[in-house]
Amino acid sequence: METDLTQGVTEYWLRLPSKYKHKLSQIRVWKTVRMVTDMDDVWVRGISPNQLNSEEIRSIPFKKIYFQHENALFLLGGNLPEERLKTALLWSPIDKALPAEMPDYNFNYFGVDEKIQFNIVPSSIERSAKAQIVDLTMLDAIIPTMPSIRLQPIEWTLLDDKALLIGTPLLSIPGKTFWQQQQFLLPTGYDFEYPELSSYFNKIINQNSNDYIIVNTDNTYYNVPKDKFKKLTISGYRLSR
Amino acid sequence: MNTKNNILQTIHHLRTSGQFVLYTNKPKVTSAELNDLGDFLEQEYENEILNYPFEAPKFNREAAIWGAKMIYFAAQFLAHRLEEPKDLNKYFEDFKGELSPSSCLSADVSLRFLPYIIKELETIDFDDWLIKILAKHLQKFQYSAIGHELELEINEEILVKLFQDNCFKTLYTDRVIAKKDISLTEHKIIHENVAIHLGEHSNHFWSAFVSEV
Repeated sequence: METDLTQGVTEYWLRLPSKYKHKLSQIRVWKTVRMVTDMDDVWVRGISPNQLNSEEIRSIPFKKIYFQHENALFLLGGNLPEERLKTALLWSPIDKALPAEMPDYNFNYFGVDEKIQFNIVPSSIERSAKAQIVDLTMLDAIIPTMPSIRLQPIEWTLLDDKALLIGTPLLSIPGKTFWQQQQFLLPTGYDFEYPELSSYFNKIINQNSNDYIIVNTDNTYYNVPKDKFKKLTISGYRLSR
Repeated sequence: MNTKNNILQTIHHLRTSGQFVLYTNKPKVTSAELNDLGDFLEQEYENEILNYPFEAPKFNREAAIWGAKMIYFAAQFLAHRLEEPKDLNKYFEDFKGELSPSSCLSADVSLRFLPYIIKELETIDFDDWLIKILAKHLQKFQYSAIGHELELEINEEILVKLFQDNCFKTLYTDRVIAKKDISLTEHKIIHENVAIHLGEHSNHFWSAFVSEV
């Protein structure tokens, strides 16, 4: 029987003629991606399925996308193996393989006071939500009816008249959802304007590194200490209400 | 707490530390002792229902004390026994009350430890009379035996009746999932409820569970 070979594929490979190597610069910040040069081509691996359809990948010209099945590489959408698995290559992180060149120091530059705004922008990369903010009136009704297995992975804390729940899979109830990026909880559908600066922002905002930073869609944020979170149980919920 | 009250001591110890206090003299209980025991069990039950979903059924004193007596005698006879098999029955009377969510949950306060004792008895002597007696009683209170592979017969009609109580239904299904008792899910009513509990996350929580029948 015919089966979909791409099922269960966790990473995709990308092949690009060496002379277009510079087109890869936009994915240079992706931490999971590794790269190697083989003859006239560069190979990139570690592209996750949800990154595959992102703007960054789609806008790279002259590329070929492969996926791995057993010991062969298949062209995306193809059913016949195209290449043997590259085993003898020395992979390096993409940001090492594509070093960025610093411009020469500009002695006449006076813009040192300029600042970068901490912004989030709508993103096309899909990730699974990790947290949600729910009205307490909603929780009052739903918590006592929840199977315990669904409550087990969840931790919670109170934010005024709302509750913040963290843990996957989330409870299936209406609420504002967030996904996690390091210690940041970004509204789902958004990403940093400059993802490469996220660890830098994290260092500044999150001095003791023990907080979650919850970012609103209007770019404001607030901290919630991690030790404020408690396991979600029916009894714990009843006692705190 | 009255330190002379053997059965209360035993159950208290069992509930707080998971250990048994055993006595070598012939086990017997007085009604005053049982009264104290009932108070203690009620307190424990009240603590537990905080974590029960929906509205928990009322405490059933009779069932709780009956369950405690079962486990008390079973444990005593596990360690030390002078009685002939035929005399054992008088220690393990049938439960006379009605089988309801309330009595199942109240008895479970102590009865949930009984399968462990049955396991111990089986390792000592597989043909022990006591095992048959205990298994017979546990047959009714299956909620306490979930996950222990005691091969009890499931009566779906009784379950349908008990499952009319949302609290009991949720607890029962929760326990099947928590203990991953796959053999129980062969029964349609249990399977249905487990499928509802796991929703679309059955792969994540319990990969052995197949949601389509």
